[in-house]
Order: sequence, then C-alpha cells, then structure tokens
Amino acid sequence: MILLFRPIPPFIEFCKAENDKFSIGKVLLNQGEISKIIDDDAQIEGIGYLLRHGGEVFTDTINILGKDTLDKIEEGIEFSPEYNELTLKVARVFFEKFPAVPQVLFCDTAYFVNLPDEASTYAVPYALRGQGIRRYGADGLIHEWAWGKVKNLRDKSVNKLISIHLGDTPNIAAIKNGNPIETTIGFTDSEGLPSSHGCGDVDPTVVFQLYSKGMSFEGIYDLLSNESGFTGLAGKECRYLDVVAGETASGISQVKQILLYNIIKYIGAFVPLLEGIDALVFVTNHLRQSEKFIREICDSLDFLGLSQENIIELEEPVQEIEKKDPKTKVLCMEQGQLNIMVQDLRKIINREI
Amino acid sequence: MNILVFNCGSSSLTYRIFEASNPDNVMTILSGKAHRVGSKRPEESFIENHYESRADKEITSIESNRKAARLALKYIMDKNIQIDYVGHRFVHGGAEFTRTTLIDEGVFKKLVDCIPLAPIHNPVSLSVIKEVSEFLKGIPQYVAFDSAFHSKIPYYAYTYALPRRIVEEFGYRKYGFHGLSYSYVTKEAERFLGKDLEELKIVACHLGTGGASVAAIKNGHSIDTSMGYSPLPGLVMSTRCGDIDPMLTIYMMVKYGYRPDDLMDVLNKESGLLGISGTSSDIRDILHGISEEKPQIELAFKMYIHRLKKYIGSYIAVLQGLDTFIFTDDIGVHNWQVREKVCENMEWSGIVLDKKRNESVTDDKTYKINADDSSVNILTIPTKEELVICLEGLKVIELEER
Repeated sequence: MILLFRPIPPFIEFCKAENDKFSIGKVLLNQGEISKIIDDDAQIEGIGYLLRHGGEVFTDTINILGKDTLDKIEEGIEFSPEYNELTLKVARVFFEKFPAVPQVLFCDTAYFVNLPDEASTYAVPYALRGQGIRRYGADGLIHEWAWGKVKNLRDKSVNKLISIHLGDTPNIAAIKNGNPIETTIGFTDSEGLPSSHGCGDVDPTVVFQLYSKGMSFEGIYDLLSNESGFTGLAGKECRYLDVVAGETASGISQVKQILLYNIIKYIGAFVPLLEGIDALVFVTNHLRQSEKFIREICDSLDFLGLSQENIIELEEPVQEIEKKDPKTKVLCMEQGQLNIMVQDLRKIINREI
Repeated sequence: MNILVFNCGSSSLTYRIFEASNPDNVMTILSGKAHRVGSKRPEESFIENHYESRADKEITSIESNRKAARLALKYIMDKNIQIDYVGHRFVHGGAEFTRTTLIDEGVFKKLVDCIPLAPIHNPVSLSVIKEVSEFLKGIPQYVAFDSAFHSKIPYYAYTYALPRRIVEEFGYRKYGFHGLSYSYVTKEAERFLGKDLEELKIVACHLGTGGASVAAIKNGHSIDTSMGYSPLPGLVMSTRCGDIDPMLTIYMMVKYGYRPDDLMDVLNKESGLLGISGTSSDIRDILHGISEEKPQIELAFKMYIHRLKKYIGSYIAVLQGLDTFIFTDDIGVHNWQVREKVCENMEWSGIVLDKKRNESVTDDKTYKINADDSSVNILTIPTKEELVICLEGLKVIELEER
C-alpha cells in the first residue's frame, strides 16, 4: 500500500493506494484520529506528503524525506502556515513511526522557483523581494507532469506550451523548453483565475477599502480566500463541476462565462511571452465533464487556429483535438495530483528515479 | 467663448485655452505644460507656454499640481486672456458621476467623497479646482470623467469574483480610466485609416509619464482595460505597482506591520519603475541607466515590457484578432525603444514593426509605423485629452443655456 497525505485545513486528507484503487478520507490531527488512519500491521511500501508552498527553500518537486527536509519545511512555513503546519505535523509522526519506509515530500511550488525575474517579481520596492515577496506559482506537480507527457509524444516538435489545469483551483502555466516562464498564481493561489472559493485577480485597493469599512484583516483574508470565486459569484456553494455542468441555472452560466473569459485572457497573455505557441494542453481530473468547456475555450481562440473538429485518442490518458489548422496542437489529459504522487513514489520504490 | 482646460496627470499638468463657439470651430489660443511636477529632483521641473507663436520655458521648482496651476493662471492673467469656462479632467467619479458635470457646492462635496477611489489623482484635481475658484472668482467650472468611455465593458470583464453581497453593497467592479484619451485616439485612427469603427479591432496603449493603461476597443468602445476599480492595477507604472496578489497586502500588514495608509502610499507612490529600479520613476532615466552593474534598472525595464506584452496578448485574444495597434501619450509617442521592444517577436499576431519608421516618429501628428507586410496597422497618435474635455464642455454649456 502507498499512503499519501495532503493538507486541507483544518483536516489532513489521506489516501491509501493499492494497485489502482484509492481510498480517501480526512482526519483532524490529534493523536486519537491519526491512529485511525492505518492499522498497525498495515504493509506500507511508501509514503508521500504534499507540501503546498515551499517558498524559496525547496527547489525540487521531489524530496526524499529526512530530518533536514523536516527542518526545511519549518523554515518556509510562514508563506502558507495553515497548510504547511499540517504537512509538517503529519510528516513528523509518520517519519518517526515508519523509519524504514521510503518517504517523499512533494513540493507543489518548486517547479516555479526559477521563474524569470520579470515574471516572479512584483513592482513593489525591490527590498521586499529579498524578504520573500514574489510570485511563487503552484500546481507544479500537474504542470511538470503535463510537460513530460507532451514531450513523450511521438511528435517532438513541441517547445512552447501553455498548460491549463481545470479544477477547483484552475490555473495556467507558460512553459518553454521545459521551464515555466509564467504562471497565473502569484504569492498565493488567490491571484490569477477565480477558483471555487478564491477571488482571483482583484484590485488591491478593494482590500484597503474593506478595511476602512471596518473589516478586520482576518475577515478580509477569509472573504477573499474562502467566500469568493465561483461560490461568491453564484451566491451559494459552487465548485468547478457545478460551473461546467450547470449552464441552465442562470447564475451559474454567468460564473462559467466569467471563468471562460479569464482563461481566454490568460492564454492570450502568455502567447507573446512564448513568442507564439506549439501546443495547448488541458489537464483535469474530470475530462468527460470538461469536454464541452474545453471546446468553448478553443472556439474562442479561433484566431490562433484553434477551433476544432474531432477528438482523437492518443495513448491513455491523452487525447488530441484535431483541428482545421494543424500548426498548434491541442491535447487533453485526465490526471490528478494523487495519481502523479503514486506514480512517482512507485518509481522511487522500484529505484527507477 | 474661451474655455481653459486643465488636465492633471500624476506627474504633470497640461493646460490649454480654446476659443470655441461650436464643436466644428475650435481653435487653440494658448497651450502649456508643467513637467516633472513633484519630482524628487526639483531642478528638473519646468513649465512651458506656447502663445501667439512664441514659446516660453521657465525652470522652477513645482512641488505640486496646485502650484503648477497657479503659475499657469498667472501667465494667463499677464497675457490678459479672458476665460469664460474652466474644464477639468477628473479621473474617477465612481458610480455617482457618469457624465460631464458643472461644478457647484454640492457637486464639489461629492467629488471630495470620490477621493478614495483614486487617491493620487482625485485630490490633485480638486486642488486645481480650488486654485481656480480662488484665482478666477465666479468663473464656472466643469469636470469631465475618465471612466465614461469604458461604460460598455461587458459584465464578465468588469466583474471581480467577490461575494455578491459585497459587490452589491460597495459597488466594487472594474471602471477603467484614460477614457478621454482612448476616445480621442479611436476617432483619430478611424479618420487616419479611413475606415469605420465597426470594422476595427483596436488595442490601444496609453503610456503616460505617470499612469499607463491598455484598452481593447471594438465597435468604437472599450470592451476591457487594464486599470480597475481604482487606477492602481494593470501595467507597471512610474510609481504604481499595477497588478499584485491582493493577499500580499494583507500579508504585509499582518507580517510586517505596515499601517494600511502607509502601505497604500507605498503601492501608489513608491512602487512601479521607482520601486524596482530604486533610482527613478521615469522610463527615460531607466532607458539611459541600463548597464550590467545595475541589474535592478534593467529588471525595471524588462518588467515594464513583460507586463505590457501580457495585456496586449490578452486583448488580442479577447478581440479574437487585431487590426489596429495604437501607442499614445508621452511615453507611447516619444519612446521608440519601448515600441520596438513591445513589437519584438509578435509576428504570430500579425504585428511587424518597421524599425526606421518607428525611430522617426515625432509628436506633431499621427504616424503609421508598421512594416508593409504587417497585417496590423501600428499607429502613434499624440493624444488630445484637452480637446475632448473642451468638446465635452461645449455639450454641457449648451444644455445649460437651453
């Protein structure tokens, strides 16, 4: 069995993967709850932890867990304390409990740590850059995997890629020769596209105005990260699958229009940075449900020659959309973070990496 | 009838007196501009006047827009020019003001209430209005708003993904600015190219020495623009940060103990080119200062171009293609280096610059600077916001007199 942990404050999510079967649950991190996760005699082959935010401390996505790694998490904890503290706590417990089992810390921001300066720097006083005020990006596991998958296709002509992750925290990366050169996610994942509960791009003046109207910092933080996005716009709980499925409800179709528009804007924004594109790749856990939405995105990018005709199956889980104008590829891939973690862990256990 | 128009930028004050009886018969009598107002190096500030085919230039410290207005008014009094109306550009009138308005006591109070919407611009415009009311007692004044041109932006472009109740209560949405300028350059492009506005997909870059923005223009009106609820977001500007993660502001206040007012000042007055370079808020200084020993100066230029290119790409996508690409305002018209860098490697969009034509642009008229094989017309158009303000004034005055 492979055991995976992801922080979902206030819970830690665990996933037990056996062959192709995943069983997922979540617990609060106290002693009694932790012991419920696995039986004492469970056969564990490997353990993986997701570190949501590695600051500038973690420069690799895959880190074999050791004492020094745990200390490093502590160093960078401030950028995402809610999440990183959970990862650190659970990693401490299981590292001690299973010293002989291979354990890996997956850092979700590391892929973006070397973004070009002009993309990673905010136009604020430069001294703040030295204090860690920069754009970090996120969802590195997904985008790095997508690049690898695209490179492995028979056709090797793709060097300039835009990778679009569709889900509850949708985001987009521009990748050139394997290196990300821009991302929609900034200092936190509140920047960029709106998400299930996060606001996306908002005029920062709004924050100051809300404060002057009497809201506390905590209240504003909560508003922007937990009550906004699709849910805020819809006026009720609304997640990615509701957005792409629920066109008939009038409120939701507006949410969909807003998400679509923001995706088009960012794809457009990244094309000049790449100086033209070879391929667009859509990665999602929900490919079937996203198909229509992906077609709508491509139709809106017809000036790039992206309106499409047929979807053809390439090797599992990759599909290619056939287009009138073949100069830009459009690929769709079904993939999720947990699956990538399991695949990588298996390779490590089998000493393939 | 003589209309004096004041156009307050964040680092300059432009003014112009028009003799105007009707919209088809408008003549400039006098024009002037105060440069580098409030500059950190006061020896660089100067004011110039053009009157009766003579030009005067005076180097003098100009610490504020109000002082600049006083110098201008003194000059006008010296020349004995009669003034009938005074018009002002007002950046942000919020939801309260959507059209050009004559100023009375009540209007003035409402304008004061709009200060937080544009904390750099609105106070300086108000200070100039005050200076005029003291200097030219009893002369009627009016304000023209910069957000009107953007009033047709569709909901999916102006909506922030904030909770509905918050948006409904406080009216947070994208407004957009530089509308007077976009309105002028759009009409000028139509005239210059001899095409109908309905045929044109325009991306226009208004690059000023203070503020800067980009707009996507279709059927003669704006469908998206880079500034937002306030003039803070969007491009890297001279001292404004442009786009940042909204969470960053909270983090800086909580973690580093910034007071909200101070942080607001940092983002508006100490960021942008000045913040990154650490030395100058002026792109001309940045361009002269680039060298290997000063990586921050080079980074400032790279970020300026990077952000600008992102917006241009966005708007080409939103317009589903492009046929007209416009540069305007001081930096847009005077800096061939910025245009050259922006147009580099844009062949995918049909933008191909003619480098020679680009380098020979001056500010006397509209220039076409694309290569012959470019599918996009690239234009530099010196903007005439003051003329738009004058024409707006004529409309209001006519209504008033009826």
